[in-house]
Amino acid sequence: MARDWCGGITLLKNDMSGASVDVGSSDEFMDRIFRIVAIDGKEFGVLRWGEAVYVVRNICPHHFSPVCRGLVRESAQSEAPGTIVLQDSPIVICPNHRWEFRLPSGFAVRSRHSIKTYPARIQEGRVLVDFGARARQA
Amino acid sequence: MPANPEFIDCFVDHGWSDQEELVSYLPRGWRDYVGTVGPHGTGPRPIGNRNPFQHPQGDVLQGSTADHRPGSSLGVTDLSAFTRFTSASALVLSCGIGRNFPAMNLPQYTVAICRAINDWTIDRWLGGPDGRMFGSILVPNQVPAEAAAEIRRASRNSRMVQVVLGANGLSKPFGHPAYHPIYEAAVECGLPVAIHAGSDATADSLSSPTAVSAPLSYGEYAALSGQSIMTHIASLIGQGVFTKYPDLKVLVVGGGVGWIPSFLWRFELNYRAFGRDDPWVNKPPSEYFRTHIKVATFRMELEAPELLAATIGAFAGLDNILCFGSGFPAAESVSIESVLDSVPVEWRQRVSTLNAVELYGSRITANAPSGVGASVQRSDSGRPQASARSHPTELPE
Repeated sequence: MARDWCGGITLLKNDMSGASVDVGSSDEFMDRIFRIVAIDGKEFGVLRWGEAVYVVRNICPHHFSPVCRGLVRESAQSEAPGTIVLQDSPIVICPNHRWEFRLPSGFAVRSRHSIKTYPARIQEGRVLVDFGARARQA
Repeated sequence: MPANPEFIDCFVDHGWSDQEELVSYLPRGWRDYVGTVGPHGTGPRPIGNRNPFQHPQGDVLQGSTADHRPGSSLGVTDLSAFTRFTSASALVLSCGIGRNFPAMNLPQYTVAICRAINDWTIDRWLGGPDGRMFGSILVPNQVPAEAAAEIRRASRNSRMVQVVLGANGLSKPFGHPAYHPIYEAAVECGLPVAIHAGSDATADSLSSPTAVSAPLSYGEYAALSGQSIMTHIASLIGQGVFTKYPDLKVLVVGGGVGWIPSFLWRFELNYRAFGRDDPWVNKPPSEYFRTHIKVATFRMELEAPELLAATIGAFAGLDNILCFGSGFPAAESVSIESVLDSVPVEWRQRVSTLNAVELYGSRITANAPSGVGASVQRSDSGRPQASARSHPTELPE
């Protein structure tokens, strides 16, 4: 796995072996702050949320903005005016038009759009992402 | 168009021929406040504020009332004034200039005068042999707790079929939580709530009919008639009123229909982006609109068929939303014939009757002269559905 740095983006190469990709030590990923990694020229956002890790394609389906440059916040829900319940589940707010996406599913909070998600885990201090075939097609 | 179609008119204005007629329904102390005529009285003050925007050719249709006053209650004894202009199976009386009164300066007086108007409506209009008249409960909305109490009191008469908010007494959009007790009472009593454009137009009102202040001419006033409607609808949806009261129905009157597609398109666009602002809005605004809102045909863009066709094409489901409302005796009253000639043929039964029945429910069908209920039962089996085709109102995916 080749590693390089370019403008805050971690550049990686996928060996296409189908195995999980090691995108770095979990210590390198600050809690609740996206880090962008580029694999074969395609950008992905990697977010550590406590012990969980979420990986999404860095493209908003709305106007193709770099969605992972946006704010990450807890999911908010309400069943009645004036009540807001925050949930321990991240959403990202696209910096361009402020659309919100739930990171576990990739689905937009208020439309039928979605961003692409990839299974990821922390194992022995390393962040591993299973891009599978989807990454090569993304 | 079929001859003599059966229809419900959801917007007819009634009025008093002399304010003394209404004063007699006030408690004694408030009668003294208004004042009396006579050598020892100071002379009565006007019972309420009036709309300063007068139609240049006259506010009402010529000959629309028995004594040449708008919607005079002389019509109770001589119905010719109404029957000359309308053959509706049911008429919903909407309080005329009384709609201005909720935003008068003295809150306690608005409570008393709204109650008096409701008692006068019940007493003088709904008890006649004609059987086609239904009433609206005018509420002192700047005192929401009193307004809610008045809804619960006046709704005991089963011919009172809706709540009329009238002028905006708190000068806040109608979705503001301060108004919620009114909606709670309306839902509890099974009544829809009506919002009329222009009700805020009085010079001494606590609010304004446009976003900035009162227009300066009748032309400006008429052109901007939909502005307050849009503000209130945005507020009702944005403040979660329909989330909180899922059974609430709202009738909007006097703004036409041309504003609907562009307003909802923009609302929907922003809804997608600003969820942090109103997380209690759990559905797209157009979905709330289609579920909870009916729109009266008064001031509909009948003279602009191209605009009307564009509106119909741009907003799916208008057939389930439009309710015939003539606006009688206003000078701009629309006839049932002109409305039904302007909408697709398959919409006619919904616009003329079914949508109003959905809005008012059994209070209309159980109390109207024979015919309305029977028609509804016939029609329910073959109820036309909204078109499923894609419309510009729906944002591209």
